[in-house]
Amino acid sequence: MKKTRNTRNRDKIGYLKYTGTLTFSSENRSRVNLVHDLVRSLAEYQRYKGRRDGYYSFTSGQVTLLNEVQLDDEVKLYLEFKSARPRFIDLLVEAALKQAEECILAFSIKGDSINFKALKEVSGLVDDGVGDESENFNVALPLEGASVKVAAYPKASMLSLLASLNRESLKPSEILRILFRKVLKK
Amino acid sequence: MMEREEYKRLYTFGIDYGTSDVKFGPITCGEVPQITENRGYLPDKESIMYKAFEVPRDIVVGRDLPLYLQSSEDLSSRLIYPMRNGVIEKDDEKAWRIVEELSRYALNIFKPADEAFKGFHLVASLSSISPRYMYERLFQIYERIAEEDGTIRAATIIPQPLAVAIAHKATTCVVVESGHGNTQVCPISRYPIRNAIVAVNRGGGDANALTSEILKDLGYGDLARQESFVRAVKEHIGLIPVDLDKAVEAAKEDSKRFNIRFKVPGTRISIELGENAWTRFLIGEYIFNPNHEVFQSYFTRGMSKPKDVRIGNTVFRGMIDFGEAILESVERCPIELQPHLYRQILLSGGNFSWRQVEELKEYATDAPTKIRLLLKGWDITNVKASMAEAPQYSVWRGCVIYGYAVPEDYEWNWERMEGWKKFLE
Repeated sequence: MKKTRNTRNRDKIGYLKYTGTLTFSSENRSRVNLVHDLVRSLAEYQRYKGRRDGYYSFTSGQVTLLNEVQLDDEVKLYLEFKSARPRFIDLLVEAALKQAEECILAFSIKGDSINFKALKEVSGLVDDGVGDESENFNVALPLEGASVKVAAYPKASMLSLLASLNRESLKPSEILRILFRKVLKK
Repeated sequence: MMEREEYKRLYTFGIDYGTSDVKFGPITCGEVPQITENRGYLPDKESIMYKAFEVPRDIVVGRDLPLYLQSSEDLSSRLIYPMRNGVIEKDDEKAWRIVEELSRYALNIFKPADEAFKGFHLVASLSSISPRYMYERLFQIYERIAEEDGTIRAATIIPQPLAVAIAHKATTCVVVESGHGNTQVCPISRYPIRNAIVAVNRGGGDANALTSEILKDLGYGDLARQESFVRAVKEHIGLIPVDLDKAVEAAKEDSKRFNIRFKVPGTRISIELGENAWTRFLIGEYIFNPNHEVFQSYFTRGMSKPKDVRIGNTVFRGMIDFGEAILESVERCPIELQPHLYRQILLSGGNFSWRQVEELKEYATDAPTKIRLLLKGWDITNVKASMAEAPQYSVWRGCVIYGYAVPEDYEWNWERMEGWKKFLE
């Protein structure tokens, strides 16, 4: 049984690991390697363990550059993180927000403990009981200081989160804590 | 233009048509995709129960399939595994219909309820020995799904070993992908070197067959016919020997040390090897090298020997050992490239996931070490073999990473066999 994203540990989110992507745009400055800047920022708080299979590896997570798109006056970075604990995602977002005003975080939670009915209720979506319960749906979570969209896939027992974050937003670990309290089966 | 690129990144979807399982899902699945068995059931629609209670379905696939199974006698003709050898014959219509149904099933599980959704950018992966007509048929299927379900905006197909290499960011390597039905050895130098691919007609299914024979010898003949049970036993007891002769000798001398008991979860069934604990090593060895004389007794008693078979234009070698297969493949590449290839051998696929027992490490080893030992036997040193991270899923991972990176406006090119084939605007 895979340990990652085991949603049974509802009150111990620090023990779970996540895989996802982080996207942000930054000013296009010549001779500045944005990924190295990001890695240096992370290394201030986490022990850097070197590169493994193309990933920059830290104590509580790994990150790699998936894609880099050069625009006129800015560059857009697409990063992938994996085996990441919430604390690592917090730090990664913090490091990205040193370079950008906003970043987009995407990751998934998978497990039989997800209560899809509760998710609908939290978001204010009315379940009229008529439709197919296993049908996919989208909701926006009413969280202060963060725009969080959730795509729900009941047949795959999976939620995908897409969060648009800025410096004033809740941290990813806080978003997770709120989500877990509300939509995991007791 | 930028918007389309963003759209593609949001809706990249990978699907790996393995010989035994189909692994699928969007990039948001993270490291573990959704999995379903690569099989379909064609129910007897004349059954009265069907007529009375259900809207007849032509083909059943996915998680609910066992609920539709009818008599055991019908299973061989109605329960079809379309890709047992990684290749589907051009005119095997039943198999193609099952592939279509499986593809629809996979895409619909993750079809977003978002109005902005206009279909996935689908990256499919096929065996490296798949002939061109398989690509053509698959694109035809995708075109139909795009029209009818709206779940595919564009699609591309890549060979499985390339997907493994992409997942590991390896541009020069040999990928050995071993699944249930067969094994592909494929050198990669930026792109698969097609004329150097060696296909082996041996995979996890063969280790199951040998495990079944071992179970019969132990007196569990009735259980040995149930494939899922045999597979569970294999995964629990099988070991890869460092040296088969020495391991067997040691296990015969001290069977208690090597003994193992396996209890089937949720049942009263348990098996114990006892004095036959030495047979644990046969299971692992058979995958890597079935030429040892000890296997002869099983062949003599009726276990079928992995045969050389021709499928499409490819000959799948039955009895070649994995060391020789890698050697043969690498030696078809330019001499200057060969040392670089030996230095990065990536082992991928569920057939390389074997248990390791710390107390028996003198006799039992892991798959990369076994490959190094086999190559050493051919006087090839300076070899670096490693397991793909999550070997069962690395093809799928490579698919989604590839889809994420290939520009949206790069159109499919039949000569280069790459790019996006677009179906919906």
